Amino acid sequence: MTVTETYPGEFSSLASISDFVVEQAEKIGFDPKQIYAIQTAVDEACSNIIDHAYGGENLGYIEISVDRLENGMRIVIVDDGKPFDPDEVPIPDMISPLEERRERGLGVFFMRKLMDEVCYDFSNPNHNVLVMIKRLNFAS
Amino acid sequence: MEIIITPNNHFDLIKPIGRLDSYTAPEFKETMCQHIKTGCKAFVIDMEALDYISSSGIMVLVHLQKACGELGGGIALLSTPELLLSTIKLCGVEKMFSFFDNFDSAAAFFQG
Repeated sequence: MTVTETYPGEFSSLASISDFVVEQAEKIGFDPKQIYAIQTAVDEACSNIIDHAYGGENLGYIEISVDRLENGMRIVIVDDGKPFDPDEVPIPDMISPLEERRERGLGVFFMRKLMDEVCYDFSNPNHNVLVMIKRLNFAS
Repeated sequence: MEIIITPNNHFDLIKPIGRLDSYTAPEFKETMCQHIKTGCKAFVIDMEALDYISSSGIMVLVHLQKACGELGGGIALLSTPELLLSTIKLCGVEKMFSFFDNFDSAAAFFQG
């Protein structure tokens, strides 16, 4: 069964979004470390949507759907901001001295590190559709 | 987000409560920067009551460490929950901070 919630595209939605995702992850049976990883990945994804897809707050919605899989959880996040392909986001610089680093790209880096699968569904030209999967037995 | 500030002799104790995410990080950064402008340059940040920290929250800590460092001070992180520490490590910035499990050790860090 798919559970779907829709939120305003504003940073004040992030806490409610986290509550929703954490509740679903708990029902599926993830441990606290995995739940925190899921919470972080979704939070970073939604922050990116507001920052980059919409380019600001209150310019659209964020729809989040959660499916229970046989071995985990699929999260689908939809927005109608400008097209955003995480594959075009460079891997953040983790080597240079801190004062020389740029802050961009950490969100996508987090999503890829914390989830088992992260991909974009480009089949609908009118929406950005981000699909992330976390498996129950993944050693995080 | 609630931020409790308790002045001490050699540093100020800062206790943020709740989430440090893209919504609350700007407020936390502004509060701390205003505090730095009053002359404070050393902070013990009690992380115990933080439920969550995002990359934007971590970047605020990095900014504060750099800002205080340029003034000859710094920040120490007290009682950082393991889950939050894992995110800080994922960012690759853990070596930038000194972590302490108890208040006395964090206080001694600034009292020399």
